[in-house]
Amino acid sequence: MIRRTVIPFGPQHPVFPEPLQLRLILEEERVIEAIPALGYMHRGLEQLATVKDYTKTLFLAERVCGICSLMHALCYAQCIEELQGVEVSLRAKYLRTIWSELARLQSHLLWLGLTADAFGFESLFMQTWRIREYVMDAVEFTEGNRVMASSITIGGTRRDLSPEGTAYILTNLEKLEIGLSAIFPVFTEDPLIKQRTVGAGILRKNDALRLGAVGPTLRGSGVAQDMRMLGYAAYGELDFQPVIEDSCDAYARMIVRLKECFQSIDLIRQAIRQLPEGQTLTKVKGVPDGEILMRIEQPRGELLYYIKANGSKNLERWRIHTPTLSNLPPLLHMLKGARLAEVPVIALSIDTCIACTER
Amino acid sequence: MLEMLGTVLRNLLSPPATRLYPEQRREPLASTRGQIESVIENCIFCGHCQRVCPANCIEVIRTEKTWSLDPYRCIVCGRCVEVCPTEAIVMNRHFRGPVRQRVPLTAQQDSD
Amino acid sequence: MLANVKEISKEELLTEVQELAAQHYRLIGITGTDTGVGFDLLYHWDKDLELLNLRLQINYEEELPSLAPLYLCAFVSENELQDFLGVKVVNLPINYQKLFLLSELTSVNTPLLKKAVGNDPGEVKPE
Repeated sequence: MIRRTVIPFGPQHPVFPEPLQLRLILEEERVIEAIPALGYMHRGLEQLATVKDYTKTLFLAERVCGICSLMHALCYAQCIEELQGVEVSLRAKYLRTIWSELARLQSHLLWLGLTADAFGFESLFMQTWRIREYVMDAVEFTEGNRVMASSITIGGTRRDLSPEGTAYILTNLEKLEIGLSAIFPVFTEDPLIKQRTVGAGILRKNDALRLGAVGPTLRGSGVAQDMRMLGYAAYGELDFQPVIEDSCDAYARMIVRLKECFQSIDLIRQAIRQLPEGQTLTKVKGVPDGEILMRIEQPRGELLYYIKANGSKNLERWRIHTPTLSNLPPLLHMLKGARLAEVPVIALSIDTCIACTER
Repeated sequence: MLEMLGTVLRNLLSPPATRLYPEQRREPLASTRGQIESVIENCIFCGHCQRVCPANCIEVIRTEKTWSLDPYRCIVCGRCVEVCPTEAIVMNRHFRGPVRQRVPLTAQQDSD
Repeated sequence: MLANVKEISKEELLTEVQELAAQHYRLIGITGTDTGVGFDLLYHWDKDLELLNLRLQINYEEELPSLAPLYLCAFVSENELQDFLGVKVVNLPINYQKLFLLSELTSVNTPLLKKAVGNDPGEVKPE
C-alpha cells in the first residue's frame, strides 16, 4: 500500500527570501497536492491608508515591498496624478522610466543569485550579487538610497539627474554588461543547471491563461504579454518587444529573466540618449476625487492598483493586486506530479514576493 | 585541466573582490540620504515640518522654543528639509551608527 | 472615471463569466469595497492588454457564488474578500475560513468593514 506523507515546506526555508508555507502531500516521492498557507507578513496597509493623509500614503506605498518598492510608488503617484488631472513633464517620465529599469535589473539579478543558491551553486550566487552592486551603486548615486529611494512624488520626481549622474550610470552599465556576458553562458549551458531546470514545473499556454499567470511565468509559456506595451511613463517612446520563450518550464522562465536584464540595459541607454530638458516637478493643488484603475509591469509581473477617493484627505479604498497573488494558483498546478527535490526550483521560478502579496 | 589551472592562477594573483573593512571604508556618495540634523538658530517654530512628516516623529513646541525629532522613527524621506522656509533642518550623508539606548534628538533655541 | 465597466446583477454573474471564459479572457482579481449600505464588487478581466470590469452590488447578508468551477484562480481573491470584508462566498473549493491572511490573534475581525470594532477613522497617533 502506498503511504502518504505531509511535509511542511516553509515558512522558514533557505530557498525562500520571504515566508510562505506550502504543505506538500507526497506519495512516495511525488507531490500529489500542495496547500499554501499565507499570513506571516500581513501588516494591514490597506486599512492604514483609510486613516492617513493621501500624500503620506505615498511613503507607505513604497514600503509595501523592498525589492519592487519604486514600482509601487510609481503606480500610486500615477493614479493620484490621473485623478487630479495633473500632466507630468516629459523629463520626469523619462527619469521614472530609467529608475524603473534599474529596479528591474536589480530585482532580476537578485533572483538569479537566489536560484543559483537553490541549486547549491554558491560561487555563481556570489558572482551574480557582485555585479548587482554596480546597479545598486548607480541607484544610490542618482536616487539617494539603495532601497526605498523616495525619489518619486506626486507631480514628478524629487530629484533631477545631473550629467555626472548619467555618466555614472553608463559607466556602471558597461561593467555590468561585461559581468552579465560572463555568467550568461553558465546559466544557459551548464549541464547541471539544465538537468535541474529543464522539464521542471511545466505550465502549458492554455493553463497559464486560465489560471491567471502573469509576468515571466506567462512569458515563459509563450504568451507575449508585457504591461510596458501599454505605454505608461516614457515606454511609449522607447523601442522594445516582450521577451518570450516557448518551452514552458523553469528553464524558460530563467532565460526570460536573463534576457530581460539585457533588454533593460538597452532601454536605459535608449532613454538616456533621448532624455529631454525641462523641469521635473509640477505643482499639484486640490484633493483627489473619483476612482481609477492602473496597471504597470513590475519585475514579477502585472501590478494592478484600484484607488477610490471621495474628496477628503484620506483615501476611501486602496487595493493592490500583486503579481505573486496572481501566480499562486499556477504554482499549485505546477507542483502536482513533481518530485520532492524539484519543489524548491519550481517554487522559486515564479519569483515569490510575499511582502507584496500580503501587504 | 589547463582551464582549471588558468582559473586558479588568476584567482591567486588578482586582488580580493571585497573591500577589506575596517581598514578600507566606503565613503557615502554625494547625494546619499543619511540623517537629519537641526540648525536651531534659524528655526522660527512654524510647525510645517511637524505637519508634513509621514512618520509623525517631529515635535515642535513654540512656547518653549524646542524642536525634537525621534531618529528611530524617522524614515529620512527629506520632506521636512524641503518644506522648511528658513533652512533650519538639513540632511547629512552619514548613516546612523548603532547605539545602546534610543535617545531623541532635541534642540533648544536660547531666548534672547 | 473607470473605463469599460459593465454593471450586472448577481444572477447574471455566472452566465457572463461563462461567456468570458469562452472568449479566453484572463481573470486578474476581485476588488471589494464597503459602501455603507452593502458591498461594491469589481471583477477585473484582461484580454490582449484590454481591461474589462464587471461591477456587482450586493447587500451585507447576500451570498456570493464562487467562480472556482470556471476559474480556479478566483479562490485567492474570494478568500481575501471573506477575510477583509466578511463577504459570504459559497461553493469555494479551497476555503480558509477567514484565516487566509489574518490569524486568530488579530484583534479586529474584518478590518475593511466600516462597522467592525475599532475601525473608526481618525488620525493615526504614535504611542
